[in-house]
Amino acid sequence: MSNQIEKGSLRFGRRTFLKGASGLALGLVAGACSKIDLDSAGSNKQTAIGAFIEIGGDGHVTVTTPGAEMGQGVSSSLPKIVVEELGADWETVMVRLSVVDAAFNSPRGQQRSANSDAITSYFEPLRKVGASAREMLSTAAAARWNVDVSQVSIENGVISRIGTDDRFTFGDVVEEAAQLPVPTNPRLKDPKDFQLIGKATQRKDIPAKVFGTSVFGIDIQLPGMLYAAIKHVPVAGGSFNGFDESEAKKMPGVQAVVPLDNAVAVVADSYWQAQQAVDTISFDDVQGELLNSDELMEGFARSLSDDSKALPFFVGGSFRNPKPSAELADVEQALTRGDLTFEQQYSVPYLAHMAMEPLCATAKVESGSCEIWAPTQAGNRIPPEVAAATDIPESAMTIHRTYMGGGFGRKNERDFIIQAVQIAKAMAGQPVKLIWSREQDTKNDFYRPAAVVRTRAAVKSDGSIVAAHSRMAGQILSAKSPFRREGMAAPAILGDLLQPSYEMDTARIDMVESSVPIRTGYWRSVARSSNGFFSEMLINDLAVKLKRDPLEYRLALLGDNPRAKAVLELAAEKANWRQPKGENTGRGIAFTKGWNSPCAQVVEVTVQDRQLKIERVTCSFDCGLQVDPDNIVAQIEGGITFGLSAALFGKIHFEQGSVIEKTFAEYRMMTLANMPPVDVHLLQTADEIGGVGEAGVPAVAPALCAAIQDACGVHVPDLPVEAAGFTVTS
Amino acid sequence: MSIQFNVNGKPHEVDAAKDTPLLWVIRDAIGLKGTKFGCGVGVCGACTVELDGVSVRSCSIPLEVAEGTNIVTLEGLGDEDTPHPIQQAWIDEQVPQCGYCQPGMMMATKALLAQNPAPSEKEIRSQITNICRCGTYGRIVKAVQRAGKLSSAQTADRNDGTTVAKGV
Repeated sequence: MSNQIEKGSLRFGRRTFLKGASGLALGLVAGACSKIDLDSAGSNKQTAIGAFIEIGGDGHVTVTTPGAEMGQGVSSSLPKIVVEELGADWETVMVRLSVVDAAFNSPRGQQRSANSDAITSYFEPLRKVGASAREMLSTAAAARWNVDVSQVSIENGVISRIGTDDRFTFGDVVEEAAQLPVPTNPRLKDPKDFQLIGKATQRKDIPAKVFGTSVFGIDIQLPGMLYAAIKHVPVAGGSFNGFDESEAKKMPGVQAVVPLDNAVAVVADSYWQAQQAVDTISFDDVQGELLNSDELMEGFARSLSDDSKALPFFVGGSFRNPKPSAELADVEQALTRGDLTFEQQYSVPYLAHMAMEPLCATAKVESGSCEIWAPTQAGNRIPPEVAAATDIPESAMTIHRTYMGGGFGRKNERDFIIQAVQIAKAMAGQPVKLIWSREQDTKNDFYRPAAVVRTRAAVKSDGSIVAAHSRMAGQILSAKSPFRREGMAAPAILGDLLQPSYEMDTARIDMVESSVPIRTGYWRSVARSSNGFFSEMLINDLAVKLKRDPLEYRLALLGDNPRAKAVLELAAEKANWRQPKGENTGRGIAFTKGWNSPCAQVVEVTVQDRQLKIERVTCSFDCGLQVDPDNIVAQIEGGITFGLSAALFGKIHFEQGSVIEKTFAEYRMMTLANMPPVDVHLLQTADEIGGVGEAGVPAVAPALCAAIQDACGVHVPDLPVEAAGFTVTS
Repeated sequence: MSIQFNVNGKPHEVDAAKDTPLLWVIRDAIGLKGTKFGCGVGVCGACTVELDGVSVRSCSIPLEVAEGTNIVTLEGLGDEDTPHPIQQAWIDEQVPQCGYCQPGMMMATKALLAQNPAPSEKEIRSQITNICRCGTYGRIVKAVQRAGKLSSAQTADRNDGTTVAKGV
């Protein structure tokens, strides 16, 4: 089965674990060349390295990435860490995507690609995996040569006996190595000796993507496969009682109509037949709240004054030692002690993910077991949820994680996978590929929640912030946070509503939650996508009010914070911040820090008669140790593009409970024509490692709005910018 | 209904409803998965192919229109052993992230370069209207220009009767 989908230089598939005599799992060969695929994964949790590394008798090395590849580059960056310590030849290493298996759990006990934590969570474990295998190969080679292991070195896939011309390939000794016990405490390289880490290398997934051979979720093809299309109840959080399938059942190719919890699916011989048929289905007795975007936002704004419902959150500190918000009464008092007081309301809308590959998943259910192929960021969350929905035991599931055509948080949800299994269960024995139409994808998202924020601040004439209180009104994420504390707001919505890097004597952030039946979820950079805007708009607004340069003002507020100051200084220098500007030109700057990675961005715009042109974005970014500088730059470029699309155009409208936007025609995003040049400068001021994938997103919206105000004097406290009457030109 | 046409130089006969979008015929009847489904309404360009030398969005072309035509998809450009200059440029510039929109981007580039072998940045930005959600636009601009140069070099080499250098 897996052979059919193993194309190109990246492969995925479940292997059977072949153990050496000691129960270990390095590679083993049958015959001179034919490689037995050693597995990985599966049942043998204690021999973790076998899940990651396969060495063939020809010495060929395949490394399995525990991450899910959605474009962020973990199919190269994570294996690179293994190979650095292993000493294999990176040029010839093959990479494989991982199945869902506890062997691939991060030290946090989960397998999923989210929260920009691939490198930060897997860095040390993967070094150990590589170093363990290296030690086993060295030990085996030393035994062959009858020398001490200290006389053996491994580099670029060659095992050498130091000071001699004796050489082995990995394949020469892999069989003996596989019999050895796995070292519990392998010696790791001194980071100064890293040869791959820190160097830009070509991504392993790119050739297949360029030749059209990489297998995305939507590309899965199985013998006898049927296709399903889906229609969800059109009202957010709504329900239906029956549906009319009479037309659909008569249409060519239709095999079955399958009712689901909040949707109906049609299974047919081809996707187009299924889609045509599902389009004819109408729901009976649709129930639900007839939400309206404008009323919803007005309701959020009204709730801002409800002190009794406002739940506070931490205003900084560390995860273990968080700094609590000031009491409401204390903040009120402190707010009277400034030379200048400030109050402003801001808002952001609901946003969709709009990954280029619509949601899709393929499943086959047969005699109580199932096999799933899905473009998914998720891992360990899938089996229990599928089991709960289908009664298929978790132990009877095999879940292949394909390439994703974008994820951005949406493909961390499991709804579309559960649906595919439910549909396949109804078609027992026949594989079914479910594909959502673009319209279904847009209208049935787990949206980035909208929010209204009111911020009040008291400032001394020297600019120092005596007190700040920022209150959010809106809804929280649909997924329950395991970290939420009693009597406090949800962490994944309120964190960094005031930027903790700035010095503030008295600070409070709190939230008035509304219960709204709209599904909300993780959206690239999650709360920081909104809170980066709210917190940095405040600083820019204060700078404008104080007639201070927004860069200098930030530097003054940052106190003893060298990493933050360094990115701001570098971005400013590269953007010619202190140089004169042309006519109608404005510059804005913003600083955010998420995933332990400080980021500063300068946006330059020209504005004339509300015709807005984004001239350039300059970014300085410090994620500490860089596994692959070029991929980091690419991720920051991508994050900025994602953030700009949202800041300028992004808005999901609800009318009568339904989402109005259907496709990219209504939900617009940056194109080549209006996307400005982006100039990313990396900085490394710390040895620790920070996250990358989401970190480029939050700063661009506040920097953009500051630039617009700088250019034409128009203050834009509500996103998207387009709604303030600006037209984006190319 | 039965429709005949060529894809990447090979003849195909497909029996499907005449209003079936060409995209799904290419992907599922012919089995060439490089052409992607993004929006179904001709906006994003992930499904871009060449039909009788013209760049089209295959999600919005009914099968009947394809009768007797010559279609080129990404797979028709080149492969790992013999990459097309556009594919080589895409690798050299490390363009793709998720990679899903890139087949359409490369096919749109093919059409652009056929008209204008050395496009300016402005021409590239105004004439390729496909959407990339990962934000690879800056690299696409560089890759299009590099592909133009690689193609011109190859043409010049062919005119000289010399061998084509790979991966310049």
